[in-house]
Amino acid sequence: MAQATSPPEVVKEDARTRRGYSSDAAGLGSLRAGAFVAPALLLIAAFLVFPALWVLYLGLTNYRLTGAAAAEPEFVGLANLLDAVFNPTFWNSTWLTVQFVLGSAVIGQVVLGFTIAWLLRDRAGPLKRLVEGLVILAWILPSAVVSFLWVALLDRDGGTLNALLGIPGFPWLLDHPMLSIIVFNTWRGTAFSMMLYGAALGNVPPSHLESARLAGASGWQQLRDVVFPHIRGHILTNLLLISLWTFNDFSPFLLTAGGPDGRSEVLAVHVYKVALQSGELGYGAAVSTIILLINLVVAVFYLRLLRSKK
Amino acid sequence: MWRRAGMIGIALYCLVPFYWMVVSSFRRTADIHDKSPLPAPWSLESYDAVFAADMGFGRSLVNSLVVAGTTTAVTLLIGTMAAYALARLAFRGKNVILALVIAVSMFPGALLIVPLLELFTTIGWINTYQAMIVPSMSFALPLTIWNLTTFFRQLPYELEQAAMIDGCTAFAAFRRVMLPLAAPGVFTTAILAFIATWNEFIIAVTMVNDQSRQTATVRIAQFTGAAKFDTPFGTQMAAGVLVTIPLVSRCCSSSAASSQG
Repeated sequence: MAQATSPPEVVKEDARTRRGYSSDAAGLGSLRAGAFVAPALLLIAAFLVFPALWVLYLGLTNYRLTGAAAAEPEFVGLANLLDAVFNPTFWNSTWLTVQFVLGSAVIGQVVLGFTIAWLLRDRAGPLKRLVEGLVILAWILPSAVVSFLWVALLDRDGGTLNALLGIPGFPWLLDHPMLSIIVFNTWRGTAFSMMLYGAALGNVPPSHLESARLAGASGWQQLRDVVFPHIRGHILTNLLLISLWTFNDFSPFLLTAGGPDGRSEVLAVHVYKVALQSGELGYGAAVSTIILLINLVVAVFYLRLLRSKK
Repeated sequence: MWRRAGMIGIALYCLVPFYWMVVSSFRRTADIHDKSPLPAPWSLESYDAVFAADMGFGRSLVNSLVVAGTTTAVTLLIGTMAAYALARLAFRGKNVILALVIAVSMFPGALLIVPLLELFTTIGWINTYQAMIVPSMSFALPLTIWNLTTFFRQLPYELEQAAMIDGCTAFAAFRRVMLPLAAPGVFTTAILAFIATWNEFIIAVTMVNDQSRQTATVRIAQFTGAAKFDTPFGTQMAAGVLVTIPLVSRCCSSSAASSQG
């Protein structure tokens, strides 16, 4: 933790710094900069990193919620990790999580969010505000409320969707559990991408778009050559956050509870089921460790991309 | 034309579940499973039920406001300072810190509860506001820092230098020049933090069992549990509508303020 809490070291002259300015453009100095960063890092360290490390340690024990191992957990080393790696349920969950992230985050939320932001970029008036408002509404409702809503919507017998489509008795949540949670999560999360891209598009100089249009660029060419390079950083940040959020999203549990037969048991639900429902905290913590490692790899990958911008 | 059609399609996709919540909240308990597009007859029965004295729902709304409001204010203060320093200073290991913070903040929340509960039991924070506020702050901070760092980075370095040539101290340059320019980003981040805390459930339900300190999301979930065989669907929907109102007003005021800025 020493690294996170001590004042960050200032590199006096950094050749890579843009346009040769001093690396300390704000004139903060390392001491004051440290004081600026320290409260945030201290809080994160105490209430996020420290509990997380504790969980990592639990992953090396046979700690359980109940029974003899609850009182005196024994150190079992990597046994939990090996259990997970040789467990087909774990791999099934991993594969479902990949589908969930690609379907609802990368394709659903990012594409839909950007599309809405792009469609609305030069609009004003009630329709724009209505669309924005509704998208945001879907996102700000508490999960507890949202899950009631969707269960009511998708219900087999009394469901609103079946009544609207005229196919009473179609079991959406049983026949298409993954599709259901993907559509649900797209509905739920698009607002974040929309707002982020909305703000990002506001930073694209209109004059650049104007000259592209005058030069005869089509809509797609404008997007590809003017807009995307400008908002590359935002796209990557958005992809990173959305992927990680979706990866660890627990709300599918509220719709399908991982079922039927584990066909929508994404990793976050898997952890919850083994750790808190079956009480195997040690094994659950080990799976969490794997999740954390995957998150780290994804985060570093995006950060590399982000840094390589020229 | 296709553009307008697309927008209307998206609006409908987003509207239908929410519309159903509002409509259901105005039905009588007897015809809660009706399929008619409008309640017939309209009724405030569910709202009466929500505010019945023994539900404690009004109190829980106040608790939610206290927790979410405090968390947002302090998170923004701390987060803005940290983001500014991170955006303006080049130091070794910065990206590693950022990556670590983001990755850790994605840790499955359900498991973090176990150590946090033991910690708060030890220091006697059970049934206090700070047991909900402080972890929510540490959960909201990574995203706050991340977002605001992106915003500060976009602002040209010349701004502070000009301010300082004009005689501003470093702090005055930050407060008078940079902060107003980053206002849209700060507002967006404020909304994010407020929503996340307002909707927070796992910590609130674990750390607080005294009903007078419970937040609204926890109350809602508990009046499901109270009547196990007769799910109070209408009451839930009415409570859902009520819980949404502060979020909507918060978003509207923020977007109005940021469009002026």
